[in-house]
Amino acid sequence: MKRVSAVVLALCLVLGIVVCTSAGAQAAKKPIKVAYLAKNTVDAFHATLNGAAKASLDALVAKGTIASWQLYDGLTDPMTQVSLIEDAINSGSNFVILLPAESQGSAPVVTRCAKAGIPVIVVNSQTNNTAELATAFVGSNDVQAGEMMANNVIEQVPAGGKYAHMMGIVGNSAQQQRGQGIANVMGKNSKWQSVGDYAADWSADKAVQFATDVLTKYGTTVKAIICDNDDMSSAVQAYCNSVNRKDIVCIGVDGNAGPLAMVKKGTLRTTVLQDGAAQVNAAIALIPEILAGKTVQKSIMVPFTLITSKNVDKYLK
Amino acid sequence: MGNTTSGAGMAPKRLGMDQQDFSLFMKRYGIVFVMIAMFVVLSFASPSFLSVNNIRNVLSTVALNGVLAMGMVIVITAGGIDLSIGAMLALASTTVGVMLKMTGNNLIACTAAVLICTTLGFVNGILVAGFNMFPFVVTLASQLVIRGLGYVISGGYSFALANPNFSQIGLGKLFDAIPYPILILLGVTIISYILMHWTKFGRYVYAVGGNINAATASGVSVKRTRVLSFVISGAFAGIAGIILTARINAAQPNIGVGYETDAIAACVIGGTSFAGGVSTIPGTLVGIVIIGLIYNGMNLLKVESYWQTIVKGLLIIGAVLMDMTMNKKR
Repeated sequence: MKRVSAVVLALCLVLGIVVCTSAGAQAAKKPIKVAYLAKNTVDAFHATLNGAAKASLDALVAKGTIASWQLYDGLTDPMTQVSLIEDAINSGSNFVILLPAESQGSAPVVTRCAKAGIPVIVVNSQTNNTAELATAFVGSNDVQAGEMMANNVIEQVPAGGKYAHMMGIVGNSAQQQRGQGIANVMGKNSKWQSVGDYAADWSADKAVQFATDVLTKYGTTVKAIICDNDDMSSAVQAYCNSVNRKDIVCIGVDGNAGPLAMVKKGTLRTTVLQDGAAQVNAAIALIPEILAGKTVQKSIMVPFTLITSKNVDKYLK
Repeated sequence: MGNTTSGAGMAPKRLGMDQQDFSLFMKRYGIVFVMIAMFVVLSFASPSFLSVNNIRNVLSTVALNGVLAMGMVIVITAGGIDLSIGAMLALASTTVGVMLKMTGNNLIACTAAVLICTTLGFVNGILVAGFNMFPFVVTLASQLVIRGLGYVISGGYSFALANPNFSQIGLGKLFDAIPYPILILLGVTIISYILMHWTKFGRYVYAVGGNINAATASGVSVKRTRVLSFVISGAFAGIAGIILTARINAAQPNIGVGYETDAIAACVIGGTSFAGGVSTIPGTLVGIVIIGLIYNGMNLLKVESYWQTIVKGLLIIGAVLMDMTMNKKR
């Protein structure tokens, strides 16, 4: 009896080893399918970002580093991203690139990936659990962008005055952090007073509507309109120019084609370039390293660049 | 002979009119009193309000909503609704951007934008009138298609306008005094007024919206009338898209979201009935000015922007309730 048990036990052990080894071998051979969860495909900035990602991911497929990849459109909605990650996992994705729609709302996506043991690189903006759970983050420090804009306004108008702030969609980490950066700098400066934070929702037409009323109410005391993106700042500057208020400094973040063209022409003084392509390419460059089991840098920050007429030619699209 | 009213005395006269005439008067002109009241209140509440510059700005801002509302009122009066106009704004914008890039010619760009939106309005009309589909469903679906078309044409990118003079349409002024958007709104309003109140087509629109069976029995071409209402709505959306593109100085595929709400609100506040057959063009114009005054007033009074959408919603409910109360007497 004892002998039989011993043999059975030994057989089970051997079987177990064989199964584990074959599973391990299969895992090693398992094709890498990347799920690219875009924030959206409709913002000009994200269109550029997604375009760069497509080129880099296609290159990885051509090299054989990954087997395939698929773009999932988050529609700027965190709930959509939460359900898309399930679709991605169910269709066999085992690597995720996430561009969060919202810092809090999109956090479950990162949690889900961590639970499923799937590496996730968060790009461009962070969820509130990125530092804790994500494999890596590649983005830019939006607080720095806000501070850069505010410092540039102070530099351009040393005498100070009133300023308005046109916000992006409230809840997005870019909106929160840029606002924080602006407040950090302007709040400390006694020469500047805020006349309000306006919910322009990243939208150029809403920003122009608010700007119209800001100018009516505050007239020549308004010296700057700081916008969370440069679709808004370029439209507001065009409006200010049309009512002979070229003196108002309008500044925003992204470095989209329209605003860059205006800087080149001289109708917009400055804009802050966010190199989305560099962010997403740096993230995708991490994929082979992560797959090879190397330790990667947890957080890579791509700096913002202040664009003026002096350096705009380098960045024109 | 004499007094035909029986019972415990006649109802008291208001403004020298009896009850029925007073109701009719309030129904027709009540909304103008609301607008005047808002003017008075805002003049006292904010020193910046009653200036030429501010009034001009309010009218410029509402001009594009007004153009949309003129198209919407015709569609609603004919018994339909058009939820695709917001998406048409975006498609018009991207069309302008692409055509300016290709030709640099403002007239070609504007014509192309209006043509493409008019054609899509025609498609909406055929689906509703020819295939007897619910306008709500058709335009809810077509807005997705139209917005998608905008993204396809633009690749999701927004772009600067290749002809710098284009933005003058939205930002320039005639004789340095009257902003062009106001003139465009005036033109569209006059055309709508003539169409709806002075032509056979207008009578047909009211007939079809009021009582479709009676209209058919009277020999009105219901299909043609309904299709044309959507064609006009599309054309006006194209014009509005041109104004919007010029005002933001860029061609963008993601603009126009929610603009159909303001257009519908303007119609409802202006006395348009969702049942069809009841509306006035001046009423719609007053409706859109009232919406503009709400936004402008709240911005001047430094009310947080989120409250503005609440107020707008409450105003629509209030306008409909008022309308129902007025009509209860009949």
